[in-house]
Amino acid sequence: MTSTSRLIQGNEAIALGAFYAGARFYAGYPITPSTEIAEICSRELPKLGGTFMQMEDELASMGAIIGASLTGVKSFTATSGPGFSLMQENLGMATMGEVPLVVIDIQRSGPSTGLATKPSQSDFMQLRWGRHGDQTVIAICPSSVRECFEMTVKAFNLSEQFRTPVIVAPDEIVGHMRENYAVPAPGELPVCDRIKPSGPADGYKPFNFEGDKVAPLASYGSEYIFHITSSMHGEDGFSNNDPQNAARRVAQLHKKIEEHRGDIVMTKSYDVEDCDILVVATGAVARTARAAAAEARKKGLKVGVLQLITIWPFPDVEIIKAVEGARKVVVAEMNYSGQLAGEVVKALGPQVNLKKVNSFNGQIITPADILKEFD
Amino acid sequence: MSGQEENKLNHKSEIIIAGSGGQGQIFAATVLADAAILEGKNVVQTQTYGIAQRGGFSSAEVIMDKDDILFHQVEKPDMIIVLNESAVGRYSNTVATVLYDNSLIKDGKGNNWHGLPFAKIAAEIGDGKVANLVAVGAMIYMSKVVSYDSIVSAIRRKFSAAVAEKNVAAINSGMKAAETLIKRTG
Repeated sequence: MTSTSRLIQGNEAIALGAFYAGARFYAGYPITPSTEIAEICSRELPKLGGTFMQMEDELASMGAIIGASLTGVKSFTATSGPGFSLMQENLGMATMGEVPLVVIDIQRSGPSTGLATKPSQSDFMQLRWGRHGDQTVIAICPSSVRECFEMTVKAFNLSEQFRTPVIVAPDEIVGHMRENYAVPAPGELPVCDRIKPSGPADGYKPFNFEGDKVAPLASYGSEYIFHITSSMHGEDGFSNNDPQNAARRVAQLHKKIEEHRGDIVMTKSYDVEDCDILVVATGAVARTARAAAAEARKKGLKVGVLQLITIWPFPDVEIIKAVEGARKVVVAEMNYSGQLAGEVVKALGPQVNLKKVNSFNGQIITPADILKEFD
Repeated sequence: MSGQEENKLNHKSEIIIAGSGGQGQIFAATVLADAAILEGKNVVQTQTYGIAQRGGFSSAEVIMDKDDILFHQVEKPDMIIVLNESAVGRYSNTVATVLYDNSLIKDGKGNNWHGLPFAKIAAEIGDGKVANLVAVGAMIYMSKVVSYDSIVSAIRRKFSAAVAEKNVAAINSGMKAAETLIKRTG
């Protein structure tokens, strides 16, 4: 801990991480438990030469950050489950138009408006599949104030690098938690910017990618004039219904993420090398899992924890590796249906000895809840 | 009860401040957390509340530890501050030391419940809003989870001089009330 360590809330760390990454535009519609992010942006962004806009709703918020990002300004919004539902249509457009931007979804209890002030981890599938059409996404779930900061910086970097929306989705516990944290000095964490075109403005093609690289992205307002549409488009950004073009474009939207999963998929493992029981968890529940594992180790049980930081693309390879030698897998998450557990079964096969620990009443999972499954 | 419990500097300490929304539980918890950071400890501060801005059960928690803090929720509180009747029922069976506001709550729930008139003391020093810090003053006198100097530094870093002194006065009054209580009860 350095001398500049101070008490910082998860939501504050997200806002500060966004500023650190270079974000200078925020548009949003406040919703519990994400509101602190809008509050901080409204106060701090103007001081940084940036812009804060309170919008009439979440649809407009997504529209505004797409437009702002296309002018070359790193842009983001923050919401919670009910607002995130409303953002899906325009989020799909950002995916199709390959617009870099970051969406923060502080997960609260549903369904619908549910328990507004209580935590959950029930948006995993909405993060992945909330939009129509077959597309993919990057989604990250931090578990501490430090990770809120670092993973927001990382989210902007990934969005710029791969020209894609990235979602940061802490649960309410992590968003509202305060911890001591020393904000890194400029330069301590890497910050990436999108690649801009360097050739002549005439004939610039905003979707002319080569190999596994995304196409350089010009800024609206510059000498490069270009078109972005949510409909199928060719290299020049204009409508193109040719099947070969469609196949190439859809595949590229997936491949630019899948083929770089090594840069994107982040997990942390704790004592997994010799473990008989592997606990898989994310967000605040990863902390619970580590506390339960530490308690179990005192009793001689060999328990390891795999914390998922990236949720999408799903860390299936990492789970398969971590589970090696274990006789049992416990998946703990704050939802009823076992959204992560389902993906773990997909990775390990239906014969896996898997126990689910779930909470779906707005209350957190305790170490005792997980310890019960170790017997 | 011993007024000078073992100094907990190097141990994990867990504190709950409970009452109804608007009594400043979260603020009081952040002051304690700031003080612990000044002492080089790790802290996790969390809260739970309903959808109303004011009223309804609301509590704030602080965990302080020299080591890393994994589970973020208080499991074995060292001390619980109860600021009004709405929070009493939740802690009626606790074994932790409870400090409750006996100007707002009629009775304690056992020998581990100690009443002091936080709201009344706050009103006497001229600002009913600082009852939360009167309670914090009483708590640090009894439990030593953080030092008086750290609390005062934390407050002075948060506020302009005039406002800080009003809050420091609340801490002082709380400490004095706790001292009197301990002398009276032994």
